[in-house]
Order: sequence, then C-alpha cells, then structure tokens
Amino acid sequence: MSNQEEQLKLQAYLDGELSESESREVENRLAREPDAAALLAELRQTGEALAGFEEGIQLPESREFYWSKIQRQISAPEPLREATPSPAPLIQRLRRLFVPLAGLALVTVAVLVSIPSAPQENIGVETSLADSGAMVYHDYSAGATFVWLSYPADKEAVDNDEMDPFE
Amino acid sequence: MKFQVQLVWATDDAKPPAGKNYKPLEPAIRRQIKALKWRNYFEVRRIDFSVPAGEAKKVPISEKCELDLKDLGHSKIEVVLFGKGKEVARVRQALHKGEILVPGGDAPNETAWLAILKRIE
Repeated sequence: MSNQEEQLKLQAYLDGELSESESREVENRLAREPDAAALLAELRQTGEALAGFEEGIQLPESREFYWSKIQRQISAPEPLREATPSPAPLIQRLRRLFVPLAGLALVTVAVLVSIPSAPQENIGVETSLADSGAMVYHDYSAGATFVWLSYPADKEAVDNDEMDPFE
Repeated sequence: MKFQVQLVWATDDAKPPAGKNYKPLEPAIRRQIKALKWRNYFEVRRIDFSVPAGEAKKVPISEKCELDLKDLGHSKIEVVLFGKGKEVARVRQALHKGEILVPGGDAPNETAWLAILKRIE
C-alpha cells in the first residue's frame, strides 16, 4: 500500500461501500500486490474479532422516539424551583405539640379515675409525728399499723426493773 | 369500745432478761406483727381498758410512756403517744375489732419495744 487513502479504500471495499468499478479496481490491485491482499486479510480478521465482542444495544423505544425525547427535554423550559415552605408560626407549632399531649393527659386522667381506690386508702390513716425519724407502716393483710419511732436510742431500758420505752 | 394494750419486748434472745418473768407473746398477736423480724417477743405488761363513745382516755403503759386514746366515732380513733410527757406521735385511723395499732421503736442491744394496741370490741 502506498498511502493512507488506498488503505481506507481497502476498508471501504471490505465494508461493501465501493461502487462496482471501484471494487474491480481494488480486486485487480489485490491480485497484483500481495501486501494489499495481506492487509485486506488482516482487516477482515480484525473486523470479525471486534464483531464478536460488540454488544448489541437495544433501545427501549424507537430511535426516533428516543431522540425526540431528548430533544423535548432540551427544549423544555427549566422547571420552577420548588418553593421552600416557610416555618409555621410559633402558635401553630405549639398547637401541634400540645394537642397530642392534651389527649394523652386526658387518657391518663381517665385511667386514673377509673382505677378503684386501693383498700389501703379506705383506712384513712392520719399521722402527726413529732419524731422526725419516725415512720408508719401498714400491714393490711394482718390488720396492723406500725408507728416506728427512732427513740429511745441509747438507754438500757430492758435492764431496768421495768421496761420503759422512754426510760 | 374496749381495747387492750400490751407492752412488748422484741429480741433475738431466746429468753427474757434474767429475773424477769415475761411471757412469750401469744401466737395470734405474733401473726399480726409478722412484719417485724425479731425472733422472740415477750409481754412485759398488759392493760385492758375501755373508752366511752365520743370520749378520750389516758392509759399509762410505763413510767414515762402514755397513750391518750379518743373515740372519734364510726370506729375511728385518735391515739396520741406521749414519751416523757411530750407528744411523740398522733395517729388517727379506723381501728376495727381485732385490728392493732403498734407504736414501737428500737431499744438497746438490737432489741425493740412495742405497745400493741388492739381493739377488743
């Protein structure tokens, strides 16, 4: 091959893009020039090898529709930016918070009211303890109320002739 | 209303102090004070008394300890515990027949004293 144009012509011959006269001219040259014939064989093998690796692209729609879709997207006016919602007024936000809370509070009150009073409360114990360390304990099952005082603390009460709690 | 008050010594000792003829507390009362965890309870003194309806009565349970019990009606009573002449505790509650009100406190050597007030009638 003498130049690039002749090489391209060989490729066009291989692709079947030449006229009948041009094809005869190329065939004559291939018969005369072994280099041209070798190049044609190489181009053919390369083409066949590449064809094996090419993955066929299947368009989901027709070519015309695919391109028209792109065209529509290009020519379509730019969509308006979505307006950012302004923050709700404070009273509205508080209402959103307090309405559920009020509902919950009502349910809680209703539950508490519906619970029957514990039997312990019917005893109605009132205590007034001068002793700050004193405590009251009710054993309802035994019918007993204990008022436990913190003194006397350090007197040997039981060693006296008569036990006296306040000895 | 009729009441009984028992002055009781609570201890883990098996016997009352030497020279004391304290009786073990009756099982029925022991069951009522099962919330307390001493092993033994000895009755030091027992006093039976009654309180006329709507009236009050002072009951000395030891030399320096006294109960003032008032009938408030409808089985409700007010009990004021005095120690050395000073009011220590005041309790108002309904006390039905068989129920007990137990003022008490810690005593030396990990013992305790109890004044078990029980309504008899």
